[in-house]
Amino acid sequence: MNKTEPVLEAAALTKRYRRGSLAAEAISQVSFSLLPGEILGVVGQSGSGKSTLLRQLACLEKPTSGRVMLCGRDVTGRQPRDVCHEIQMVFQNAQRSFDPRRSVGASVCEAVRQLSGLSGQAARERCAQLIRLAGLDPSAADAFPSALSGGQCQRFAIARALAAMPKVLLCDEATSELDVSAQAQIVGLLAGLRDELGLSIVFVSHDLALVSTLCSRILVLQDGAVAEQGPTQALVSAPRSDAARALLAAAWTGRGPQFSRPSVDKPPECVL
Amino acid sequence: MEKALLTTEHLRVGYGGEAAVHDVSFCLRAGETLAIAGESGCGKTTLLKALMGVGGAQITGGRAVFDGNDLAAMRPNARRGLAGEQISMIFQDPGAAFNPIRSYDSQFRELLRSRGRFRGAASRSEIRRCFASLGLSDGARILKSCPCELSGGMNQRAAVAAAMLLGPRLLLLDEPTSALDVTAQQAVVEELARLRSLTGLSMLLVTHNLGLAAAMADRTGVMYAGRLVELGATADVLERPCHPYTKCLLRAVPALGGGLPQGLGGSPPAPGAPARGCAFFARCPAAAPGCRERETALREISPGHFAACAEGRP
Repeated sequence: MNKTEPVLEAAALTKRYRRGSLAAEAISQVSFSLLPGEILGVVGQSGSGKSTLLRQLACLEKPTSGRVMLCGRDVTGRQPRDVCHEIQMVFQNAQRSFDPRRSVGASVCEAVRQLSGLSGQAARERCAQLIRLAGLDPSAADAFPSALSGGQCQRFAIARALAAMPKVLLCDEATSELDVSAQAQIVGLLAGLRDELGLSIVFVSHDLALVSTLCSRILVLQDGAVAEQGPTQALVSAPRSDAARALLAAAWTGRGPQFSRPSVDKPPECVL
Repeated sequence: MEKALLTTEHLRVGYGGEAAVHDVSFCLRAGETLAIAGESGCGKTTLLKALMGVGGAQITGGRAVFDGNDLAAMRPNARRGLAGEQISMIFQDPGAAFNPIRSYDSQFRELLRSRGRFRGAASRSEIRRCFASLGLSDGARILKSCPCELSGGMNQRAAVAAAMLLGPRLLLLDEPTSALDVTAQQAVVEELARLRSLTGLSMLLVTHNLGLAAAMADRTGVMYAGRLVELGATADVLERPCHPYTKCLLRAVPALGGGLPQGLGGSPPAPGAPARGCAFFARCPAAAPGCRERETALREISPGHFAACAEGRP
């Protein structure tokens, strides 16, 4: 495929949910394109349609109107199994995305068998290879999800997603439940996978500071519509939409207090 | 001089046999906000649970003194009276703190009844006043709603109202904003700042988000493997960190438009780690051969700024 041809394109995607006489438009007229090896950040408040957008892209739902183009073919309204070799998803809660009664290794291995057609020893070797690719030691694969930390679980979830050797990875708040250190590790892993495998990633988060470190381009969603999209540097230094400005104002970078704190001028009574 | 509201001395906390907090000493002054930061599993939530007396966390050594009362030595009844009325807690997941399908109004009334403080119409207006003081413009609507009908940010603000209803002097906050999106986080932080200036409340905040500590706390402590490794004024700790672990944590915080954040390699030691020597030794970028056996008690590096290791002195 041509390097400059997008691997994933959304054209005027709209999803309306209906219940009786009530209807709500979760996303409306969302368009963007994703180039090979590109990481696109999607930011917005809770309820702005970020997850709905991902569900349409992965064909987990049928959009009300608009089109999804994957690797040059129209996949609008297709079944997940039609696209699972090209597009895979990583969810917010890694622990809950695994079967609690099986070892994480068994879950990753099953994905390998289902998606790559390998079996027996070949599948096990591929599984170990994927686990190493996700920055883990294959010996940790015998653990159950409940025995692993959130960061380790998320690495296994990424290994499982890579079993299909997808072109596109959709990360739905993949680091939101992790502490800063684990979050930094996962973000570093994703950047490494992009460099190593040429993976394209849609990284959804509400944390604009985090997104700005990983993504070259950012799309801001507000109430289901695209409020703004553009290169990271431009968006961070000169946001044009209110939604982007609100997210910028709320982004804490740990570089200094944003809220006025009453000063403490009295010496403590005890030493510590 | 301001009085200490809560003092812990060499506090040790465990579940059954296993200790999760090994040796924590600090004091919290009246009206002060102290943040305790650290990775998942460092024992920070266990510390809060032990102070509140919930979740099976038992004080197994050292002392925790709240307003002259030794918490571990108190009778269970007196302890229960303290929790809720004097010490209140806000949890990470606001939805899980309430019954999802009962209106806030009835849950707040029950809260007052359980303490024998329900006085009919007077209490109803007290609940409304409590909501009004939070700066929630549509308090009446929220009171009639059930938690399942409201957003996470709204529920967390209601949880703040519930925690404040009995007029506590100490608020324990366990990752109060981690389950919320950034704009809702900001609303909750502003709420807490307003409460603090109105009531002179003391807060003990536990978080992995150093940005939140920077926004809220007068002093910040950094915890690793059940011990405080650094403690000082928030600006000192975050801008002039001494301990290598604090420096590593700060490098993991994403900066707007900056480079990729740097995570720490390895993982923290399992609970019940050896009581001697530096627990951070295996992951420390500044580790020297003698570090494994080195004494790791907090020492004063500069006035009011304590660290267990001076290798990374600014």
